[in-house]
Amino acid sequence: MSAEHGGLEVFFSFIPVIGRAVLLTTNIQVLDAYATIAAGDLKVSVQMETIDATQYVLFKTYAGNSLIDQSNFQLGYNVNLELDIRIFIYDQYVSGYCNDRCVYDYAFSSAVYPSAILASLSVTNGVLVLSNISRKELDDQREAVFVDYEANTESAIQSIIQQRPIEMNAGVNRELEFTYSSTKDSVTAHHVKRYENVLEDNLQLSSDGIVYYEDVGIAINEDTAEQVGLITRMYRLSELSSGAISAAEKYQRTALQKRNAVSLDMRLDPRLEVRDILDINLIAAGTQRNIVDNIIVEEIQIRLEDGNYRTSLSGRKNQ
Amino acid sequence: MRQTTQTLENAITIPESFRATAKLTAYKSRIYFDTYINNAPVFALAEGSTAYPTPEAIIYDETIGKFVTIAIEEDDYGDGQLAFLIEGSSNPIYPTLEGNSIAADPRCRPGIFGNRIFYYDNNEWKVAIYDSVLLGAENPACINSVGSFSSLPTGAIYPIGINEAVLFYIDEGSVRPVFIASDATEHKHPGRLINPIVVLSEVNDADVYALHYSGAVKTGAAIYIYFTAHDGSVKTAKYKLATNEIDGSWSDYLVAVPEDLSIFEIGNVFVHNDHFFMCGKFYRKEDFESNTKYTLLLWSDDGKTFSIDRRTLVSLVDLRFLAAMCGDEIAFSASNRYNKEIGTYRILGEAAPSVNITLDNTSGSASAGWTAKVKASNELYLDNEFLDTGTFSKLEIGVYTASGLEWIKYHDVVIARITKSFEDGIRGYELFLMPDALWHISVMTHPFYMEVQGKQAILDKVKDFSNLYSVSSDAGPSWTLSCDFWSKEAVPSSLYGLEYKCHAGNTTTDHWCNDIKDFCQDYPVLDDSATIEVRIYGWSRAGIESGTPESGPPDPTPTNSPNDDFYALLLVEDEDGEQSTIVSLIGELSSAHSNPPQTYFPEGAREGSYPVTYLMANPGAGKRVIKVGARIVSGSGNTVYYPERVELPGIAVELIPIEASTTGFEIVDLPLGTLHQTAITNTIKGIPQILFSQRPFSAWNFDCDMRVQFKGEYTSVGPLGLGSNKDNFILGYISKGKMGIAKIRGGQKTILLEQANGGIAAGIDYDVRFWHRDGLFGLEVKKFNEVWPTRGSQLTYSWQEADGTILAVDDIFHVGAYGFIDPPRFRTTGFRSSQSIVPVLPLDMDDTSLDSDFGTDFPTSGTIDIDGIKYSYSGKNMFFSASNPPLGPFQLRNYSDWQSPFCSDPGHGYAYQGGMAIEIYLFKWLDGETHSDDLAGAIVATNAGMAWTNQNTQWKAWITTVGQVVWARERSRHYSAYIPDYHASCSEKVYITNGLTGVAAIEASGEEVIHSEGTFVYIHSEDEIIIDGFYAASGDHDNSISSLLDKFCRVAGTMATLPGDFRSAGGTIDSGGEVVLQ
Repeated sequence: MSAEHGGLEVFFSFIPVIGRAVLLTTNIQVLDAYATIAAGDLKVSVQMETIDATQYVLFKTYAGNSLIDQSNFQLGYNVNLELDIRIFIYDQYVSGYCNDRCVYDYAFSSAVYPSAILASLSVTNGVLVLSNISRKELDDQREAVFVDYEANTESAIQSIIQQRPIEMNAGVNRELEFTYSSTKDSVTAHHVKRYENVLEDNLQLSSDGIVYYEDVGIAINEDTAEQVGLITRMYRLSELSSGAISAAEKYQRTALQKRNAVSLDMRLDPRLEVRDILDINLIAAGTQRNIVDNIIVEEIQIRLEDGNYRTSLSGRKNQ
Repeated sequence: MRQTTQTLENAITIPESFRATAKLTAYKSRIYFDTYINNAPVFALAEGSTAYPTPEAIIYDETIGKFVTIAIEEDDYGDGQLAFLIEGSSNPIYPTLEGNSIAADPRCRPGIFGNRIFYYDNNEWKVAIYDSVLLGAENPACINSVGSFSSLPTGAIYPIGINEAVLFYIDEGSVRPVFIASDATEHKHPGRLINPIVVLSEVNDADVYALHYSGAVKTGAAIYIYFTAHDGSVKTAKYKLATNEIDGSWSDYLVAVPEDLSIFEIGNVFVHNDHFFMCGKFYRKEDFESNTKYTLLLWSDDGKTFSIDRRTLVSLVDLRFLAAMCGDEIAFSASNRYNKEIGTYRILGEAAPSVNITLDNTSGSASAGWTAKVKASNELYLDNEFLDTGTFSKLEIGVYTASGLEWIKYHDVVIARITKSFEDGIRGYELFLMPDALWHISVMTHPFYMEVQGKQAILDKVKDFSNLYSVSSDAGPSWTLSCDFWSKEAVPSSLYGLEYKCHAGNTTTDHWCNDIKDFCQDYPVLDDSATIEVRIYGWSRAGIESGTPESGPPDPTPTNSPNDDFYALLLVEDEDGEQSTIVSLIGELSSAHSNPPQTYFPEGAREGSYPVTYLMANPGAGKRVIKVGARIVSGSGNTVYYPERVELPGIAVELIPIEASTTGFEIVDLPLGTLHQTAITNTIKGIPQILFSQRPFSAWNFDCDMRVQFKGEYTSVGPLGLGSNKDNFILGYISKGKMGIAKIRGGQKTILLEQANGGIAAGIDYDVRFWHRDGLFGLEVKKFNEVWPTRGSQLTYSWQEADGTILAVDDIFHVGAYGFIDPPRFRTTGFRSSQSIVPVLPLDMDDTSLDSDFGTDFPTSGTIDIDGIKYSYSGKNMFFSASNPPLGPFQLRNYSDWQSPFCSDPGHGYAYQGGMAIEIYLFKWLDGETHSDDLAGAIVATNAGMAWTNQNTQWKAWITTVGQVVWARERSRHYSAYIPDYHASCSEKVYITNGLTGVAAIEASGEEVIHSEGTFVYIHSEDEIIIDGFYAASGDHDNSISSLLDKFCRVAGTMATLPGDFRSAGGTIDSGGEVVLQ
């Protein structure tokens, strides 16, 4: 499934060497602004160049191997410093930033985003040292956000993420964690007092999702089809332009995971965090039944009272 | 999973028995004071003062062990001297060097770092080194030396090392930050902090003092600068340092503290424990203004976005506090009125004062919070000052291990609720704890409406007008203002035009031209020019009217009576709609005389000016001119006069269109095989065609590209930005052989920079890129199939103070497209295609070139375009010039064949040409012998579209009535064998003027076409504009979900983490190697 809306946000730093470039290669199919060159995979290169003893950062954009645009930007002084680069690709646009300065932008005639956007960094014409490399998971573009006087940050956050099923939970430190689907560490359950698994279909469950957003599209979950059967469901994500298909797929995946709602009581374990993967391998008393399960922890209740030290967990099946 | 020791993990997972406990550490979380220690000097400003801020800076002097303020005291003469204020001492120390006090500019904000003071004096920045020991002993002779630091202008300085600093100064009307490195090199931010509707000046105290609301810090390998912008927000920029800590690169300006009807006035900025702190005063303005001023200590982890959570408030005392760390204490001081106390958790982290609480029973979760019961029987915690809602705390769980009790941090929390209960013999104390981040996002309400605008971009391939839209009005071309007195005057009949006037001696009569909106699209708005030039054309003589055709009564007027004086009249309207009449003053006369030439009575003849000209004082920029006129003032005797016209060459107006079409750009389908399927084209001449783009909706900084082609000699086309409306924007353009950047203000184009570029030719597809970055504009052009040249290599222009404000309206900044086919042109008095002369209508002055295109640009033969019809011409009649201006309009009074005796002066006097002639209300009592050829060869033109070459003039026209000679002393008779045969009318205006001759339609239609008075005549050269595409992007940084979450969490006082991101520390990448980003 491909779409005209999508995003890719990449950061990296490097100490430039004249003549050598860092190349971001993607599988996003683009056509140049005035459609004069054949479409190809989008590549963006960044390098330093010196013109009349002044240094510029130079961005080049390629469709396949065809150069479709290039533009440079003076960095200010004859410097030898590390460049912090941000390349942000969304819908039919690409922007380039260097050291928090907007230095490049270009628009494609069209861009087609595959369901799985591949990206890699490489170096041309030699060796470079790259650092601080990251690719954002939540890379959809938002043009503007408005927050009224009385709004608290919680509602501001909601207006940012809109209908995207982004999980938000408080980190151990003074932080909030936002993710679609990342998980943390695997922890083995121990001293389990109670285990319960409720198998129940839920309203979000679908194998065949019809997605209404700025455009229309479809989200398929073959695991649901295999495990449950054909379920068509409509996902009305009218607020979204980009990321709607990903959001619907996330809804489907989570709904399938929540089909198995697991809860258990165990000894207090202060190590456990939300989004840890809990490996369960129990022998039930009496029947000696071996219970094996693997869940993503969603909620952790602790209790320390009157000599009772207990953790109550709930989660969804990790599949 | 929380990381633990193996011992702890074993204790949790292995044994059958298990024992745990919990505790809470609550930290000092807030500073608030409403009183202070007062050691202020006498020159300190009082609480609530609205005077300019006291120039001061603060530092903790470790040698003295106290914080020290360096201030500048201003005396009654406006001179300043440095003064030290020492914590705990109410005696200001006026430091001296060799017995002399240290003078300083009282408007500069001084700086202090280590034992060095930075200040401005005698046209340079200086640095003084002081001895802390001597200062601590309050010895004024503590200055060891004074040296030069920088020659930049006065402003505000923030030393960030012993020999490096950040300076803010006024550079060409706006604020420029500059880093002065340790080697004294200046590293200016390429952009400036600009108030778009105010031009700052170094001579204006308020503008210089506004620089005090700024700050700068250096941390790690970067310098951060902060400035309270004109709108009340705080802007920041980062200078990333190279390894030599001198070179580097500046970031864009970003918003550190937003605003909405509010102001955050920076006091100072400092870094402590890698956290940024900004002390300043926050207050609301306009509709929300109050007397309450909040002193806030904002903080930030990244230096770019500051938290404004509720615990940033430190005082409501209305003083301008600066803050400084003094070890683990923090001092807030306003000219040595201070509060000093130990820092909070936000400043010191877990080193802040705290209280430990053992929790008896604890239960809950991170999503719902935890409830914890505390042993309360001894009422230990009831009055603890740290235990309050909003207190930063740490929840820990202790597990008894083989090695003893071992603690693990379970969560950073905030106390959200405290429940205290009292019963007989029972005390209860229960805490409700929330995860820190959840508490912040749930309780943090924004103190303003906040709008985070990311980059907007558009690629418009101009298939329709869904993005680009026309803002050109329905107005016709613009031109310099002139108007006559026809049609608004009281006339005997609507069939007749303007007749002569007469009035008695010592009489003042006002004559107004038409309301300007009768012939213009709107009233012109006065700019800030000092004067307005007004020219009044007309004639005047002494005596009573002749009575023609009757024989009038004897004229009782003394023959030495003067003719009339002319004065200019303006009716102007202010913004409130109040109208006022402005009359020129004799002291404003710029012509030699205030009267036109007098030729009658001959005995009273005197010199005069034609026209009578005044340079009137501008009644006020922004006022609208409703109409203009002339005040006619007679002297001692009767007078007869004829007002012709009034010209205001310095005022441009948009005329109501006469031409068939004024809407230029239209979508056209292009032929197969061309580059694109559609394009926007325009062939309309004389009217700038302006398109604004729907996106970006508003762009302060921008990139704006167009793919264009032009044809012809006189076309300019290019992108525009900072557009308020169709009359106000900045433009980058190309035209044949040149490229330039221009300012459009009030519809008038002022070229800021233009250079020849011989490579730019008609008929080629070009990409034109116009960009703006905080006062710096750039223009590049390339052929469509080439790559962009180096940015800034072709044309850059830095906005100058002399250019005025960069915006006309500080509201929305449009980008768009501009095209203007502007051939040389003039207006005609009227032309019929059956005729062969195209006359020129005065005032013949192009409003952009401010000269006569007819005179300077029209060749002696060529092709012209009138209303889209092409004509050839073979001659150019230049009888009149700027120093000998055209005449008229006059009423046509007679169209006849004059034979003897009327074609001679009475009594067989001087004989004129005779034959066909017209009589018009143009009077001069001149002899035929010497003056009959005065107008020979000039073009006589009527607004009926007729024109011919004048041959001979009988100035003293006469007739006979009942056999008696009757002098027609209000008219003259003009003979020509070329007068066409037509039905003349007294409603016709007659001009004597210049014109093109030998005119013939290139494609004769067979039907006569009438081009009415005021129609523009253009040189024709096949001009055309073709726009193939348009791209624009604002200079805002792109927002992603990630970046927005990060920003909003920071504002709320917490932090967003994104565990789903792919991260790599990186490393050496060889050719052929790659880092897969997933």
